[in-house]
Amino acid sequence: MTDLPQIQPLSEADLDAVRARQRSRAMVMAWLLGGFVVLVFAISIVKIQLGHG
Amino acid sequence: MTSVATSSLALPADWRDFLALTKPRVMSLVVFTGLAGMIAAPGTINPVLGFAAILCIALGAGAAGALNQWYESDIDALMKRTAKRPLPAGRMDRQSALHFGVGLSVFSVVLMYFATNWVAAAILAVSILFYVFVYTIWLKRRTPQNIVIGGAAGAFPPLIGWAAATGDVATLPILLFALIFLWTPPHFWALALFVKTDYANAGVPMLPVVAGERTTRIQIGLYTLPMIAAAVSPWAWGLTDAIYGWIATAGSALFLAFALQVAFRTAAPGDGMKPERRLFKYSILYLFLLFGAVIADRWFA
Repeated sequence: MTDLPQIQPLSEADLDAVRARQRSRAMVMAWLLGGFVVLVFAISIVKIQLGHG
Repeated sequence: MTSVATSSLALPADWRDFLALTKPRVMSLVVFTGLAGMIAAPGTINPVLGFAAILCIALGAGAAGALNQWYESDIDALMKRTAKRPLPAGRMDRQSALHFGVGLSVFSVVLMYFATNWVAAAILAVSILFYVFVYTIWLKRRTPQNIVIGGAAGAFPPLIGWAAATGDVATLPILLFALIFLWTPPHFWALALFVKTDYANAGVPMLPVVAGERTTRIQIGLYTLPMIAAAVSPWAWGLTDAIYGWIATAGSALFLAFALQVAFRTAAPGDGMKPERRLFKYSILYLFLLFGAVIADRWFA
């Protein structure tokens, strides 16, 4: 039998650091997705106006 | 992306590190040359579609840069200039970089097709594939001609910009492609001369490492001549007006002066390689100047 690696529990400070990083990434992703939705909407409107399929 | 730490904490990569993967400084030149190609094209493109096309060029260039850093993280770690990038510095795992690069590549090409046309999307796809497979994977570690052939990858943006506006390619964007293609060797070899040790330590066969300084200097001088021919040819062929013609002529004359100084000199220990650094910096300004002149020519001539 092989020994499983000893996984040390994360300290409260480590957990805070991970959560802060995840939060900042989620915020950036939200802005990017919002921008993408607006851009696709704008492109669609322009294409309809130009009479493109 | 988050890994369970057994002894130390591994944070998820910061969004700034994903941004750094895209090589934002290189991207600025790519975006500018793409924009110039689009503006130089006959007719007009709707601003929303034009913005989307330029965004796709930027995203495609960023994706290619990310895949380049994914593949080269081992040699990046050996060079002072690149050791602080997210992968060699250990701030990101390689799989995240690969997923990011592939995802962004597909996204940029699909969005380009949706916003403009298949010609622009196809050229964008070819440019990404060329940079990753031909330059990064095939040539860079094998031959000192790496940046000569690989330079084509960075030369596509004017073609993409033009194609986005017209759905076609023509003589002028092909000449602009040739200009960037022929500009790349003197630009990179000037850099390679003053970071030669870095490249040698990493085992990258750049020309100064493999063939020596003398040969590199001669090649810089030689490649400058067809580059200048490509730079003035749009004016000579009547594809641009005098604004571009005069700026291209004056800018190229200065480039030639700097390049000849590098070509005919022998570096002395402790001289700081100032002429080489000057040529490298000026070469960037030169490309901005000439593509700025393409835009000015279209607006004011």
